[in-house]
Amino acid sequence: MQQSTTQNLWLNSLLLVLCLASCGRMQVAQMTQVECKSEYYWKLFDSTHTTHQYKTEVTLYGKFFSGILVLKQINDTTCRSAFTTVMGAKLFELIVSPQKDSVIYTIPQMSNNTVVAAIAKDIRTFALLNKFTTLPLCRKEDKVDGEIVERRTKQEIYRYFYKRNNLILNQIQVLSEGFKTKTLFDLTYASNAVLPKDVYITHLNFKLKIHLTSL
Amino acid sequence: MKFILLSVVLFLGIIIHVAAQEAGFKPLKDVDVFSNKFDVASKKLTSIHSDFVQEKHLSMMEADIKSNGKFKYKKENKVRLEYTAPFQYLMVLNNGKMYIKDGSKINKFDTNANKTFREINDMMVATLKGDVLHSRKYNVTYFENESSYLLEMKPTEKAIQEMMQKIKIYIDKKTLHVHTILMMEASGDYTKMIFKNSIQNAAINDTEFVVK
Repeated sequence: MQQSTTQNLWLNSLLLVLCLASCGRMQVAQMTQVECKSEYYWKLFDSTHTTHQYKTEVTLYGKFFSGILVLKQINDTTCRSAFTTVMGAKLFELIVSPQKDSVIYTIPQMSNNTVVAAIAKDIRTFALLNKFTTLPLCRKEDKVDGEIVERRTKQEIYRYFYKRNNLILNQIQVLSEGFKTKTLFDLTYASNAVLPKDVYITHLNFKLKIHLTSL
Repeated sequence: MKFILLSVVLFLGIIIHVAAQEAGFKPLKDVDVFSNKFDVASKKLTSIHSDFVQEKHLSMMEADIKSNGKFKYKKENKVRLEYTAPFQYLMVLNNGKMYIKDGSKINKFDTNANKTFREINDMMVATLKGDVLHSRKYNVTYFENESSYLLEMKPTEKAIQEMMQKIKIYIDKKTLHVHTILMMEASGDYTKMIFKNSIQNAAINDTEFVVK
């Protein structure tokens, strides 16, 4: 009996903590709309840094593989991308732009449209910062040290977090209409670097993690 | 009129044939002599230990992706490809199993269970060992220049054609060692592997082909 009461107390406490924690998360953060400064979202890739190579480690449902991702900025709104295994076999080559993606090559195992569309979407979000899909809305949030550039499409919200002191992009969130996080991009930089050294992409809807390391 | 047409066709044929040939190389006159010599050398081969440089050419890039490392082969079908730059990466083929070590992560594949891996496995082992000449999966054309033999291999199977348009193997005439392998894709992109400081038939411990 005493054990049962203790268990109930423990469970109730846990529920209370979870409830408080979730209530805390439900609080609407104090947001202020600010003027959008173009340097925020033009800084990551531009014509002065045309080609980039990233070592890419992919973990999908516990399976791991790696290769090299190449990104080439053709212009402000177009990025050409290729992925090869370390041993040199090309798995795909794409041209990604806000309105249209063109598949130049994929191996037969990847020719499924869903796979290519998911890859193209990640590249668009990261390399093109989803430019020109919709107009950006710039905000400041109490809990965020910096500014947020937000773009909304019909189904999703893209939030780009820029640190206040050096204006570098340190996180991208892709949220559903109901503000549920779908994908997170966490970016880290070597000191004084303009481009991210490491990018950690976490897809929360399915067990997919991608780690890019600049070469 | 027929004569003119025939002349044009013949002329174009000659141009196409010459254009398909790599500059500086001419068709090998006596293929049988070469095949016999190469077979004898392959039978004597028990191991290879060499450095390699890999260049991945993508037409979209200004510069090639370069990597390098160490290559080891031990008869019958053990291969170790260890990349040391720009990052550490290890691929081992050992009796039908492929092991990949990247950082602390190790992946193991049964190449017999997966057709793609089996094709890659067979192609790599056959190419690196040099016994690809006898594979029914390729049509081989032979060329030579002063210092090298060149074997141009076109895959006959669709599964390989989708990955590779042709493979060029360059063999040193004096030593009969494979010194360069060029794997060409239909798009014109290619992977070139250059082998240097090759040592043949030296003892290599089996533990080199175990991944931990």
